Formats: sequence, structure tokens, C-alpha cells
Amino acid sequence: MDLKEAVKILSLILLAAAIAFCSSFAVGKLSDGRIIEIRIEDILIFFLGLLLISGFLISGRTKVEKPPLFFPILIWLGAGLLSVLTNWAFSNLSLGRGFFYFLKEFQFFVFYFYVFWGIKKIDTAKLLVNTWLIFAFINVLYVFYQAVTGLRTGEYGTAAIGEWGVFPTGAFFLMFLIFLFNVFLYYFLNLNVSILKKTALGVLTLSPALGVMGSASKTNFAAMIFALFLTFLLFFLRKANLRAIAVFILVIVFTISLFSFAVKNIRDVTRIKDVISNFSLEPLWESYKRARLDTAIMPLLRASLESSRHLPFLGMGKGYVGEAHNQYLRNFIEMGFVGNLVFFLLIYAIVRKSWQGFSKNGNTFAIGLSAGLLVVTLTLLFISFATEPFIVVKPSSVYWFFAGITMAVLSLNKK
Amino acid sequence: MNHLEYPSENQFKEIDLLDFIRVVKKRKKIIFGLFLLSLIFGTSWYFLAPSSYQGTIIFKIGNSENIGEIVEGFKKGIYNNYPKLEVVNPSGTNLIEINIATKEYIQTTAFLEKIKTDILSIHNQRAERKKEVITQEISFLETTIENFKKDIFNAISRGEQTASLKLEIYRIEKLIRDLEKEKNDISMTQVFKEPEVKEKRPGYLSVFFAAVLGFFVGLIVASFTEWLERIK
Repeated sequence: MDLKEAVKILSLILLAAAIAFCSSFAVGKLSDGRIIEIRIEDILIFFLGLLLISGFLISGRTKVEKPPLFFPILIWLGAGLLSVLTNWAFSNLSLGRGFFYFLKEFQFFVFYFYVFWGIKKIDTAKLLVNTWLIFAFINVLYVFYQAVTGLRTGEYGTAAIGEWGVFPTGAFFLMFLIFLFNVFLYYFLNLNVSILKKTALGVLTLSPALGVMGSASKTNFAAMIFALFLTFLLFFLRKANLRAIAVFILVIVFTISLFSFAVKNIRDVTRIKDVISNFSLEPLWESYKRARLDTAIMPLLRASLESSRHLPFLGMGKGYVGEAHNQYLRNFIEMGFVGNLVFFLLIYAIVRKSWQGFSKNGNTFAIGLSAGLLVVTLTLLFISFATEPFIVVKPSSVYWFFAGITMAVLSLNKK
Repeated sequence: MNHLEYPSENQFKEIDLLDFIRVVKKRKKIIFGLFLLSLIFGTSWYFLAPSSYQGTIIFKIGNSENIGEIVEGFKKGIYNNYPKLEVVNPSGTNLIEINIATKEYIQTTAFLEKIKTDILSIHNQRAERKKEVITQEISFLETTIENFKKDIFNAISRGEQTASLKLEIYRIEKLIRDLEKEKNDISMTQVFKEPEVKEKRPGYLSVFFAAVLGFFVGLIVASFTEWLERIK
């Protein structure tokens, strides 16, 4: 490994560490009173991005490898910029809000491109996944410490390191759980290592479930059940044998044990019991209708439609709405009909790529990552009815980081 | 051979930045045309756009009210469904700033006056009711003290112990003092900044953003035209 490559890998690990461990800090305030918060990874990616661009320009090259999803991302960003510029021109949108909301989204894609271009070998991707496994487990240990000592650092229950909010914490652990557990099912489980090591890896990859439960987020808990269901559906599609059934039973037993530990030790976890009460979807729907649909989503949609005649066509620009409680509603308010159309185009491209990686690949590592990306994306679409997971910084950073790893591995496999 | 006209297979896997520059050069008329069109439109908009009127009122919310609930209440139309309403609670304060925008000066003023009347009457009625409840409670406790005093007088005349009754009086007196403090501490919601309505017109930046928008749309149209030509 040459020095240049070592530095690149180190920069990726530093980026992962910043996402996993650093909290945000205030740097200013928007005109509407909202605080502008930045994170260490924002500063890091700014400098790393500058280094990447200057390195490219100094090298004299004019061509760069085109990452998968390049055009859907470009169209999504282009539509976002168009909506921001149009609404700035018509004075509908405040300068600060439009700028910072657009910049935040732009940054997720910079993560994706930086990770994609930074991985030149499959071994680098494996090293990064192992690094994430350690970082995720350190966060789980922190949750375990909070549960045992009774220390409560989250909004409701326990929190990840440097985080406070109920949804960001739960979704952050959910990302780890889905990505790492899928890598475990297809890759770690097929490694030529002892049963003991495989069990340890299984516990490590499933342990983020404690973080999801500890956050006491109903949305994330419902998402976790949905994700585990999808994960095993895909797993049985590929391997319907006794071993797969044994793994399934062990996972269910371990997850229930984690749940009973969380309920006993973290006071607010009891609120997520509603989600699974009577094993029926009715309480989930009732809870969603009461807490989201009737009180937030529908009034916001009505108010937005009444406030502007051009909303359905151009949208009101990125950042116009503070909290929409629904990703599709946010896309509609910010970018009009086009917003959702372009959003689905991007999602379709991700689902298509990850499905191809899952179904047409022989490499177990690539299959695990593809399955993870597919399940995470579908899970995020599911919870998008109740929240806006694609703009929440901490989980989205993990999502696009792993999307970068997955696409890099798929591209390297093709070569 | 023109690189643009005959794409190699490699072009689909790599992005050539020179390609982009070539497209800009080749389609400069489209880009410049749209830029100019937007600039003209932006300038016309700057001079001809109808005015809107933005009104602001700031309340200092009384301590018996829940500020978060008020902000959410406005957003969800509990007080009334106002168009283009923005409610802000600057962090660490008990102030609420309400901004409202309409196309007419009179309408904005009327909305602000209605908000002012509604908020003040609802909040202050609630605060008065709370004070009334405390007053009633104090009056009840004072009667209780009077009764205890009579009991003490009777007990002394019968030669019985009165220490426990006296202690009970001290306890109730302390309770009354606490309630009086609570009553005095109830603050009313006040208007911190009287309604103010300002005419809002597009700024110079609108012209700038319109021009940038035109340039950006020009780039998209140029790239799209190039793409159409390539796939033919």
C-alpha cells in the first residue's frame, strides 16, 4: 500500500469516526430563529473535498470515473437548486434557509462520491465495514452503560454518542443494524472461521438493535421490525435451508432478549410497546393517524396549498418547511410535483442497482452490502410516511457512506 | 474526429470535464439567450411585482402559558387559519414573534389586530381565572385558620393540649404565603412590540438570482440538446 492510498483510507476512517462520535455545535442563527449547527464531519469533508479537487486539477487529468447513481443525483440536486433559485428570485424563500438546507443535502452526496472514489480495492471496503462495526459497537456500549447506570442522555431514552434527538439516535442505530446484519448474513456467516467467532460477529452486528430500542422511538422500532422482516425475506429467497431457519430463530431469540433488557432497564422504552401490542397493525395506524396524519401532515398540506398557487409546479424551495413529518410532503412543498418525481427516480436507481448487486452477484461481500442498501432504502421509504429520514443528518450520513461503499464494491467486482 | 460527435464506450464510464466546457462553447447562444431573458424578466419583476405587506407583532408570554403549545397552536390553525403565517420563539426567551404577509395593507393590519385581541383575551382570561382559583383557595384556608383558632380557644378553656392545632395553623399560614407568592408571580401576556406593517418588494438580489437561474437553465437546456443530438 503506497502512502497516497494510506492517507486516503485514513481520511475515510476519520470521516467515519467524526460521523460516529461527534456532536453538532451552534455557529449562528437564521432569521427565523433556527440555530445553524455544524459537525466535525462538515468541516472535515469541506477540506477533504478541496484536497480532492485540487489533487485532480494538479494531476492534469480531465476525466474522472463516473460513479453509479451519478445522473439521478445530479438531477435531484439540479431540481433542488432550480427550486431554490426560483423562489429566491420571487422572494418567497429566505436566503439562509434555502442555502443551508440545500447545502446539507449536497453534503450527503459529497460523502457518497468521496467514499466511492476513495475505495480502490475490495480490501479497503472490508476495512471500512469492520471499522464501522467497531464504531457502532462503541456506540452500543455507550447505550448499555446508560441502561445499566440509569443515566438518560437522550430526548426520551438513551442516546448515541454526541446525539440527543429521539429520531436521529434510533435511525442512526437502525442504519448500522441493517447494513451490518446483512453483511453478517451473506459474508461473515460464510467465512471460514470458528462457530464462536461467527456467533461473536452475529452479536456485534445485531447489537445496534439495543440502540434502536433504547432511543424509545416508535417510528424506528416499527422500521426495525419492517427491516428485519425484509432482511429475512431476501435471505430466504437466496437460501431456504435448515441453516437459514436456525439463524432466523437465533436472531429472533436474541432480539427478544435485547427488548426485554431494554424494557427492564430503560424507563421510556415502554412507549414503543404500543407498536406491537396485540400483534396487530391497527394500533400502529391509529398512533400514526393521531400523532402525525391528522395533527401535522394534513394541516400542513392544506396550509401550504392555500398559501401559494405555484406550489404544485415549482415548490417553495429547499428549507421552506421546518418539519413536515412526511418525506413525500416535504418533497412536494419544496419542489412541487417534480420533487417527488425526481425523488422516486433517485430511489428507483438505488433500488435497481442494489437489487442487481443482490441477485446477479456471486461475491458474498457485495451481496451483503447490496441487500443492506436495498433493505435500508425500502425501510426509509416506509418511515418516510411519518418522518423525513433523508434529511436527518446523522443517519443520512451513515446511509450515503454505506451507499458509497456498496457502489464502489459493485464497480470493483465488475472490473 | 470530433470527440463530442463520436462517443467512445469509455465515455459512459467516465466524466470528461472538457466535454462540459465544449458543450458550453458550442451552445453558448442558448445559454446566453436564456441568461439574458431571465435578466430581463428579473429586472421587470423587480419594478413591476405587486407589493406584499408583512406585519409583525411580538408578545411577551405570561408564565402560566406553555410557549411550545402556542407556537404549535398557531401552526395548526387552532387560533385561526391565517395565510402565510410564521411564528417564532427565540430560544431562551418567553417572546413570540408572529409574522404575517398578505397582498393588502388593510388585511395585514386587521389580521394582526385580531391576533392581538385573541391572544391577550385568551391568555389573560386564563391568568385571571388562575388568580381567582388561588384567591378562593386562600380564602378557604383563612376560614380554616379561623376555625382552628376557635378550636384552640375551646381547648384552652377545657384545659387540653393545643400544640398540634397551633402547628397546623403554622402549616396553613405557610401554605397561604406560598399561594400568595404564586398568585403575585402570575404574569400576564403583554404586547412586547406593537403591530407593525411594512411594504415588501423584491430586492436587488431577485434580479441576480433570476440571472443565475437563467444561466443554470441554459446549461441544462444546452446539455439536454447535446444529449438529444448524440442519441439520434
